[in-house]
Amino acid sequence: MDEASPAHINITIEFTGGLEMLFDNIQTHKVSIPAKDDEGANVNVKSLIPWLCKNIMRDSRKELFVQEGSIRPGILVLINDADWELEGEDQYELKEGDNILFVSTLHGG
Amino acid sequence: MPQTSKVPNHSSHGLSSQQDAVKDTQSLFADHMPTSMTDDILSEMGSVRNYREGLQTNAPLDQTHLAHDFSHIYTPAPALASSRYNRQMLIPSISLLGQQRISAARILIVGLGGLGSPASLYLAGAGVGKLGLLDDDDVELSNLHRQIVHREDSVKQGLPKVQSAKRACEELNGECKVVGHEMRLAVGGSDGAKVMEVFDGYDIVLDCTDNPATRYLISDLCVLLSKTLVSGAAQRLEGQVLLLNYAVPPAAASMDHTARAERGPCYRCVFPTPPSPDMVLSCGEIGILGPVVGTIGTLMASETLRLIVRGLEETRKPTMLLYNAWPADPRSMFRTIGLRGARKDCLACGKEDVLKEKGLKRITKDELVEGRVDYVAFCGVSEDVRILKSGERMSAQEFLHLTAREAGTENHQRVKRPVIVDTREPHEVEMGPKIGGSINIPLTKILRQGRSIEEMEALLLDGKHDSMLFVCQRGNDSQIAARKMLEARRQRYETKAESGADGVGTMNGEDSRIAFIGDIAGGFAAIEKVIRTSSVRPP
Repeated sequence: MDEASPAHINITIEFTGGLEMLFDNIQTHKVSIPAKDDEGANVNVKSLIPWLCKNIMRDSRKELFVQEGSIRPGILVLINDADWELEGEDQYELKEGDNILFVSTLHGG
Repeated sequence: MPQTSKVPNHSSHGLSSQQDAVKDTQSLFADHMPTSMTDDILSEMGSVRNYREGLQTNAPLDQTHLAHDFSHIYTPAPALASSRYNRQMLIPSISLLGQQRISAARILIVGLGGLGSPASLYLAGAGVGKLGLLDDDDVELSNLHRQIVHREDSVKQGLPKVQSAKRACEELNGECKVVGHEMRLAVGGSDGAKVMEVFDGYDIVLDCTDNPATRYLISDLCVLLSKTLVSGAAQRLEGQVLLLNYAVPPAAASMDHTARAERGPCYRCVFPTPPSPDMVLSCGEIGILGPVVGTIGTLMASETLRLIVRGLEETRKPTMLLYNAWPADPRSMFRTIGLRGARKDCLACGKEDVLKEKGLKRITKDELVEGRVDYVAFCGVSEDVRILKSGERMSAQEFLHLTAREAGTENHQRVKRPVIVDTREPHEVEMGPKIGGSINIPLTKILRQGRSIEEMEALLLDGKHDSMLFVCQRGNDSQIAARKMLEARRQRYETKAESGADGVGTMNGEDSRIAFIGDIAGGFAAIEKVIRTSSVRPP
């Protein structure tokens, strides 16, 4: 992982509800991501998703996390513990220290 | 009881001591209480002459006489205060009104499993007025580690869960009216109207079920009937609780006091699209720890009581509680996340005009009752994986006959010396049957970008084998693994063919020896069935 630099921001990524299975069975990942995406725009949640698939996903079943370019149904995305729909959804621009939590819905009872 | 206090006690304890004094004056006042205290209390009660005379002469007290004397200044404590619910009524936020509301509340629990077990017991214990229990399952031995409302005896008797839970709740609290609804939660035909009628008889519904189709149906019913929904779910070591479709009082919904009461989001608002059925696994498949689902069921009971006491209104913003019994960081054992509010374009609870603009229509009561909303189709059915062609699959019978023949001289036409790859996870292998000589490479490892394909390739080409058979519990994962292996080999072969001189794509020497790569159809489940039903003799 790169050292923190102006070109990178440090964020925490968390997976719950069984999603961690796709990410080496690790629930909490502290990552340093490029502050700009390929087109030079500030990194947002939309561009974070393919980055996660490429860099920390260890399972080839991408469709269990992403479908048709977006997070698959049944997964809630929380930005600093609030539903991303309250924060501008995938257009939310990531800031240093942000916490992004992916919650897979449970159904058992 | 504070018996030496010289100050008259105005707490409920003081009141009940006065009430007890009327019932049993001699023991309480003459023997156990300092005179100064009885003086304080009695003078507070007004005229005490007859009373004290009674004490001094040790004559039996005429209680009707007393009641007649004090009725204009003395009101006995409400019966409810000294009832079995006293300890929860001592909590200021519950008090008398809270208990009165609890005693009048009508609560429906759908699903008497791991969540419904503690929820039903606690709500019966708390004294809800009417407790409805709905389920269509029977109690099984594998339920008991977590479904604490049921007993071994219910398994022996083959009791339906509703009857088993009803018995337990009634044993716990004979005052609670428990109503059993032994029925499948379904709509269409005569079921729809019946389900609607059952739901309408309650104020709050607890969703303690275990599958998405039922969860959407329960939520839609609650929206159409304006019922508050307490929803819980648990799997393995994690659980979730959320409050849905609750009434938001107008003042909290808007500063405009003429505004109508709003409602919180429904299940569809939070999860507009169901997850793919392949991601929905049952407790029977992936496991569940008793206290985890018990914690969630208990939280559902306390949320229900809170709502009842608050008069079925909620002013808080929508949230979901997450519980993880085994977190990497102990601070994240409990966590509350903020959810979005009701969706204006929600198919169940959205606004008519917003939906119309999008060319959508809200689900109506008639549609639901008549079974025109297909929940099973909406959520999809997990179908068996069908990614191998029939020629790439070997039946369990064929496999067993092959191994039976191996000892003899007869050659199997396809496979002589297979590498058998067991794709179950290590803990599943540990708990399940095994095939002698098989190697365990879990599917998750095969799918992970790693070296497992190369490992398998090396085994296949070590000169001792001519084929590779994948096996798992039911024959789904084994197909995925076999396909991955076949694909990897095809790619390798194409790369070779492209760089090779012939370009036509003939098999090289190594590959021509490989007779078969595929799986055992139906996995161990099918193998066990064959073994059970026959003694595996070659036909």
